[in-house]
Amino acid sequence: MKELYGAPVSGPEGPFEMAVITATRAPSHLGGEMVAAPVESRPRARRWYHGLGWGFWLATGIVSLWILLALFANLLPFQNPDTLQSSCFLNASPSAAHLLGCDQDGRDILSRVVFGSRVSLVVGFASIALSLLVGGPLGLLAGYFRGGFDELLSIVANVFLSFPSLVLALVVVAFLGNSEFDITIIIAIVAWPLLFRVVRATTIEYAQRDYVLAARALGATTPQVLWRYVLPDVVPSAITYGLVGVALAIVAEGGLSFLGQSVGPPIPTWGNMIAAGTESMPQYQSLLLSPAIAMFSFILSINYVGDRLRRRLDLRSAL
Amino acid sequence: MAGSGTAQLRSEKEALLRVEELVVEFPAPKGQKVHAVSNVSFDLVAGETLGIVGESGCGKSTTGRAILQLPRPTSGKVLFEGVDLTGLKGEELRQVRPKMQVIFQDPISTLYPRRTVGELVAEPLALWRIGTPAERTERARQMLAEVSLDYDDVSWRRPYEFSIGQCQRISIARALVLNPRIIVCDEPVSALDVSVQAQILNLLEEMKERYGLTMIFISHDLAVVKNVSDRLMVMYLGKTCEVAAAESLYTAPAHPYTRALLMAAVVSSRAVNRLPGAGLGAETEKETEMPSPIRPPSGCRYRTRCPRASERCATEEPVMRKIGEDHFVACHFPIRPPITPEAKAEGAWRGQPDESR
Amino acid sequence: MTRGRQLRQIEEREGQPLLSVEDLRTYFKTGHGIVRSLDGVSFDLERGKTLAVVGESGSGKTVLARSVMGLLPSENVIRQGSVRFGDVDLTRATPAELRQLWGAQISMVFQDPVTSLNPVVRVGRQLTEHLAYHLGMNRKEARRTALSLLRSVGIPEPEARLRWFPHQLSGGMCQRVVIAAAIACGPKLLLADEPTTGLDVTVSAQILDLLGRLQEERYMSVILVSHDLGVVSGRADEVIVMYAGQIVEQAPTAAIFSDMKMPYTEALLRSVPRLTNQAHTRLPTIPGTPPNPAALPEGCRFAARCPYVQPRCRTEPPPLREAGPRHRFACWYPVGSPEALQALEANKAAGLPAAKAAV
Repeated sequence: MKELYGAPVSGPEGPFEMAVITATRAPSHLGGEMVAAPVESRPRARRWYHGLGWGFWLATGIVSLWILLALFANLLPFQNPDTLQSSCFLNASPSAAHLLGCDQDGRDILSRVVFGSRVSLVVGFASIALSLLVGGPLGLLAGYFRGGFDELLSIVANVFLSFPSLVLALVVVAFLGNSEFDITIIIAIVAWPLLFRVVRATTIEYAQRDYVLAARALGATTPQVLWRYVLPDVVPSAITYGLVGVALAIVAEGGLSFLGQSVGPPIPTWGNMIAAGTESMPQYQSLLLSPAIAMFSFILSINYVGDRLRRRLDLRSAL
Repeated sequence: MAGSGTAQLRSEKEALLRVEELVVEFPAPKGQKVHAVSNVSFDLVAGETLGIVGESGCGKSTTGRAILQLPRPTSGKVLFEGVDLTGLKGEELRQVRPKMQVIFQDPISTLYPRRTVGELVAEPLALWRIGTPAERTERARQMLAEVSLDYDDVSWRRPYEFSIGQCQRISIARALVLNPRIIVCDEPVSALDVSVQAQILNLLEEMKERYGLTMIFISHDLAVVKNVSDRLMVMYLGKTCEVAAAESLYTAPAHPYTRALLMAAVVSSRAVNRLPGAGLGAETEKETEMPSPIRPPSGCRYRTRCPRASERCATEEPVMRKIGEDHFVACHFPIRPPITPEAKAEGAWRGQPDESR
Repeated sequence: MTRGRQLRQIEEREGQPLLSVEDLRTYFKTGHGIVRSLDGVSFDLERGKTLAVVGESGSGKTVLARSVMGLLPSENVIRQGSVRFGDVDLTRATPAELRQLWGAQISMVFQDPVTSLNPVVRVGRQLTEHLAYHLGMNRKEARRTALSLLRSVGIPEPEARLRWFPHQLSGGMCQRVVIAAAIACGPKLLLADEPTTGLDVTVSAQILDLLGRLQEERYMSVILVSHDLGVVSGRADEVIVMYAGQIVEQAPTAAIFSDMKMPYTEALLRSVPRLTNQAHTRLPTIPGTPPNPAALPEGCRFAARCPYVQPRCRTEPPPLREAGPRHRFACWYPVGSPEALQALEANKAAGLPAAKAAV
């Protein structure tokens, strides 16, 4: 069923279609020569952001909040995450001075969770951006030109995908090291084939559309075809898959740092805080739960945002 | 049928477009090939409309696209204004494209849904960086008026807000923006209702007259093609059966397949056309369907359905030959050509099978 | 055929038509208001006759076929009127009753044969399951019947074809299989909704011939829905022309072509390209497009495109009137009448585009 003027048609399939098709026809000028010219004015197509639901906006709010906290952690009145707080010796459990309590080294957990988001978010976004930068153009070209170039790249991507990613990451850590930059590179190496495949598949789908053929017949150059007719549909889907990818990258970073293979103490990351928390249970429940809930809230939200956006854009493209 | 040969071609100087021995093959699974178009030749004189008729799978649309080099044919020559398009490199070919435009069957899917109608019609000019944005808008306004659409009413809407007939008008306007010499119409009215079909056919005729266009009109509907074409070419399974002036093909079809098509068209429209219905010809087609283009029959490709087929048809491929004034056929046993004006008037294709050749 | 466990027989009453549709209305509730897809349609159909329903897309012909079948979605639909099939009122029948009738007493052939067959089930099983369900046949019987059905719809080598999957068959062959399934239980009424629209002309002619032959052999009533007047011309006893959800003319086939009364029928026939036309013939057209079914005009629904239109047409909807035996039409100024000629002259003089286009 087509979506008409952006408003979803609530109604049955099948015989109804006939009625709908006519409904799109405009009444003509009374027997006039002008043939199209619908007389009544119709609502314009809905914007992409209409009707995504409150859940989407809540999730977007949570994601934005974390991003803002990570960006401005220095400017906000958080305690220094790396220094020992004297007030912790008196009371390590959550209190007015330390909302989430202190860890075993007497540091404020709240500020460590906030500062710890920096590593997770930077690694998450940077690694996916890097993967998109590599996988995106390659996927676009492979999907548009197909042929030998496509086959070669697909084989390379499949080889990368066939390695168990954790083993691959551990091996690369051993070579590169475990700074923030290194971890970003490592996750990008694991993630680019996925984005390459998404972009390639979307490109193949859109490059076969009749309007692409029509544009080529009009004399559009290949860059013009890609830029004007293919990219506008590929970019949104690449971005929405990218958002889901960010969540996966953060989980991966968390996993690595849980294993002690990522950015290590004293720099806080959600992963190494969770690792520390598991060792000190049950006395310091907050030490485990706080970073875990932080990570969970961010990943759930960004996944939800990506998923809603993807569904919305798929519907629009089906139009 | 279904033969090769180039007897139907006119002199090279006359022709605006000349297609010689066009072959289009697509890869099929297990290393096989789909023989979509095999050795088809035809030409067009400036200002002429050539109708290509045939059933689905006969290669008529593939032929249309091969002329435009979308995709490039497997072999053969496509001479446009004396230049062989198959030999042109990417940029040289692109320079020719504005002169050859195409109108597709499904106009809604050929119009990019993210653009407004105003942008779509001005798009070819933008692609070629012709004029300023204001000049392009002016040109789009003018072209939309040509197809009876009002720029102020339609330019800000998107294609899916229009009916198919209106979208076809928009794509005609867009195709004409670059002042092409040749328009390939690939089943332009097949998706339309009868009343809208008449509007679009009239519009195409008007545009052809006003812009002095040369047209290739591809359709499965013989009546539609005959209404717009000077010359007709009948295709079957990737081969040419018959090429003739429209009137001559209708009054005196020589190829058994042409006659089968005509009979189907006449039977289905005999009440509409008030034609005598019963007793159309003594032969009827064998009730079988078109063979696979992956393994086409040897010799004449129509022989599996042809009521006149003999052993010779299996071994020897018929070649195009002249049987009348501007009338060519590829068949070993063509239906008796009308020799006298009386026979022509009576319509020889309704008559008895012809044993002599 | 009557021994089936699940087969529900309908009683045909003496002197009554097999199918009697009265004031049938089907409205759909949409975001744009109520769409009146079918608006007060009445007709009768005798046993053994073929009725063609012709109209352009959006005229309500497909909705008519599905409303008769009872194949409408349950939500957002308003239905009114009655469909008497023998002694059963299909509009009041329960879903269970309808299921017993579908396939057994009424069958339908859809436009797209490939999607009406289950793609993962072999042709043979699709036929035999149907026979087993409605007629209670055992496997051997069902297989034998399936073979004879395939033979009767003209499928070569039916033994081999039983083992094929639908995608291995061409469109024409698929439509033959669909027809075989539709006639398997000896239905009294067959609805064919654009049965040949996706098919080639030569194949289409074969399928229509086949339907005609089966109808005669089995004494079925057939409703043939099509957008193409030419397709139905030689095959129907009567033709109904629909426009914007209503019957605008119903007549015996010959009368529709020679003595049409409704300007729409006339315009539709004129706009068909003819084989006898010379090259570059300009066709008479119907300007404009059909009305929006969510906002139908008050008077005659064809008024805005009609060459004969008069002020009365825009305010008063014309009723269906008799023009002869089994010939009804809805128009204030019927084609060929002196009033219509006057109206046309007046419109031409006034420069109405519809009048110019019709000449």
